[in-house]
Amino acid sequence: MRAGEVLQTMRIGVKFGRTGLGRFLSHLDLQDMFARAVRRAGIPAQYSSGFHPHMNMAFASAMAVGLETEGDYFELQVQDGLDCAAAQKALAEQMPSGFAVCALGRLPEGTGKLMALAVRAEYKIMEPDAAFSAWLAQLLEQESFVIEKQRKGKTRQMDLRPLIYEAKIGQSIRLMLGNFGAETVTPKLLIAEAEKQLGGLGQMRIVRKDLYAEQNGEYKALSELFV
Amino acid sequence: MIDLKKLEKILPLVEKPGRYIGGEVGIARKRTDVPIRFLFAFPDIYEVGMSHLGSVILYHLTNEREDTYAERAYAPFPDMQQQMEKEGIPLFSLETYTAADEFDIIGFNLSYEMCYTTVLRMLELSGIPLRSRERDGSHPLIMAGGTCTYNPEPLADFIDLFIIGEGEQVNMELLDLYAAHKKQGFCKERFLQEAARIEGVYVPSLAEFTYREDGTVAQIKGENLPVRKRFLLDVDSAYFPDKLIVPNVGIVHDRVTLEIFRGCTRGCRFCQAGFIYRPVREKRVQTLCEQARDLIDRTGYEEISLSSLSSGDYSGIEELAERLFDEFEQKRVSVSLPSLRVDSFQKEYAKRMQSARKQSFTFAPEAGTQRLRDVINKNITEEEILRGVRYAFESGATTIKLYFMIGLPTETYKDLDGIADLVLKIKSVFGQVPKELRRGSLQINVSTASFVPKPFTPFQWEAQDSGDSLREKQRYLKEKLRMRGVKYSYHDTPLSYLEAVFARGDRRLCDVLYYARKNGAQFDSWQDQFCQEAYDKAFEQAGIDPDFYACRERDLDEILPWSHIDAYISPRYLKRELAQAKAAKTTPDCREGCQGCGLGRFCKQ
Repeated sequence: MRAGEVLQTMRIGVKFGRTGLGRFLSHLDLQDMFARAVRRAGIPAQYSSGFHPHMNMAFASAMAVGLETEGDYFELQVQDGLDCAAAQKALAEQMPSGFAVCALGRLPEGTGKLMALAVRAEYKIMEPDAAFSAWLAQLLEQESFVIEKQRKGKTRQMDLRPLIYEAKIGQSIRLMLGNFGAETVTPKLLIAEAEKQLGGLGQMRIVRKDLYAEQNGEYKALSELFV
Repeated sequence: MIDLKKLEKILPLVEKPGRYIGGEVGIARKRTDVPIRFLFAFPDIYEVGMSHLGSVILYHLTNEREDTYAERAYAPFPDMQQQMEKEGIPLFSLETYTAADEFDIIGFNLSYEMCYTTVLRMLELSGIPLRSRERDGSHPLIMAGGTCTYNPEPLADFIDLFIIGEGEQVNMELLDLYAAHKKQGFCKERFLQEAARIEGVYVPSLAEFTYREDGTVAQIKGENLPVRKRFLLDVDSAYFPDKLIVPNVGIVHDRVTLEIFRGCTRGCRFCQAGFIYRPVREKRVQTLCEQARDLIDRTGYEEISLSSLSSGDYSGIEELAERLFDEFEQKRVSVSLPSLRVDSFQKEYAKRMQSARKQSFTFAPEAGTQRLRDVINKNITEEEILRGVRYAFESGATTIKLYFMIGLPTETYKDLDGIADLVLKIKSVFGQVPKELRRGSLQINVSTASFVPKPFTPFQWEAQDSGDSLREKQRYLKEKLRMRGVKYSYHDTPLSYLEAVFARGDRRLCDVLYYARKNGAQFDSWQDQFCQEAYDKAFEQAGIDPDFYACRERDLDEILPWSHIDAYISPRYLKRELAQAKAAKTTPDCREGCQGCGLGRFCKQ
């Protein structure tokens, strides 16, 4: 924005899901897909200034190819006064197979970037391999579980245990995991660690259920921040 | 329907799985119990096939029919093929994940000779016998259309019927006939007999070739021959989809492509498209603006490009460009004008295009000297090229791409020197542009393609330059163009050679393709997939000398293997043009007066 220019804008958050074959889009293709859908839906998105203007769109969490989700988010700067209910409906109509728009709402002024807010992620592992369930139960008994993580050619030690905030093991496994930069644990990572000890495990379906922010000591799904 | 569980299992294992997931916005969603299920099969990857405008038009047009559901399939890349075969997944459609062999009709698009083995590969992946005679009414009918069908013979054994020319009308007539036959109980032979009576439909099994001892064609016999190409007289009112499929992954032409006219009046003698797509038929500016608006609204794309053989020749180009720029500037949609010829390059557009984020401009002088440009009838002077380049520089461009051909008829090393001279002159033009207008340093990318003589051009009788000679020329240019800020690249010679073989081949080459495929050939135009040995061995297995097709100058009286195809281009005209070429004499653009190519009666002027 140029100095002195007054643009009436607001920030909105969009919660979306992707299942089935739709989950095989790469993150980059996903961004293009949503940007085009926003345009088709007639949502007045704001663009960055400069020689190559682009839609001011930011995802709360990068999405690995193949990740199934019921609660991922992006935020968008739009013209003020957007009718969120109508925009949600219009955007939902523009989704390719496998994608759903679950919620769309205004982010109150002063709300931080969704990416920074999403410190926890909830996952569900469907029909888990029994050996994995047992391995995980054992891990939860321990106070720490240090693994070696390779990143940019460097080996780093990381304690997984404190980043597993909640875990319910049953017919399926429900996990609440750390999702913040270096403090990120994913079911994929856990399964990979388990496989180091147990050998190959059966394919398990993993669904990301939601992303959570901390607010006054409580953890709330990001969509609960929408107004 | 294929087992989606299996598909989901293999997708994490392949590169760019988004190519294979389908379900895009804009696809046709219909009941599958319609009388005709049609599969548009494109013998290249998703990113290439989705960019092909002709297929897009025909896909949507076919789906306008209530009795037909048209779907799409692209060639899976080898890594995906491997996984599919391991899991027993056949080629499938991206709309309903139906196995290819369950379709009534499979229609291939042939836009380039080097896609032929991929066509065969797609049949293999479908579990469909390759040769037409091995298939009956229980198999899908295999048809093909597109540029390459002007010489359909190298695929004659594999394809049941070819569409010659533009498909909009003839495809509909064919589907009407198919529907009627299917109602009565489909018999492939009876259907093909009747289909061959439709103008623009060629059934190769109903044509018979005999050959002379020297290997040339003695006679082409058959009812309903020659087969005349089909074309629309009125392109302005022709069907054009008001929606497009929005691709799942970034494709080659990831933008709205607006076809502004068909045909070309230039008469560049090397250019097959310039002859086979005649006559020129324009769409009105008003029509185009409406179509552009619809497509942008329905796709969400941020870019429109105009498509034609020579967009600068469009009679309403200034009005169109202005209206598109005006309409889309505030919508953040950029408008680009490709295939722009240097001589029609206008400073004003250069500026506005640049404001729509363009820093690189492409020019195609095709040959390095005026003499050779006269031979090929590329009617453009050095002065015009330099003027165009200057405009580009003044509007902020710093990258210039130059396209040339080598191996053109009558070419000498003087013509190659001409390429280097032109590059030097362009560099000096850059030096003359005021410093405050320049942005950074100049980069010139020179690329040469090896000339391939094509049917229905004045050079259809000419020999292709030999591989040794082309390689020598490439080496020579590489030395000559060793300059600061200049990059030289060239197309692979073996590929151009094979292209020349198949472009002007006859049906004896079907065996070569068959063996080449069995030897592993596919995706031949992909440098890392191309397998020279597969072809070398195939020529040997089939007992065919490829030089006969590529490097032999034909007698002007020879019966060419595409003599039974009628593109309305008169052979007399082509011979006259060849003589003019040999004399380095140009022929004016036909807007300046009819040159008698054979399509004059369909021209507006």
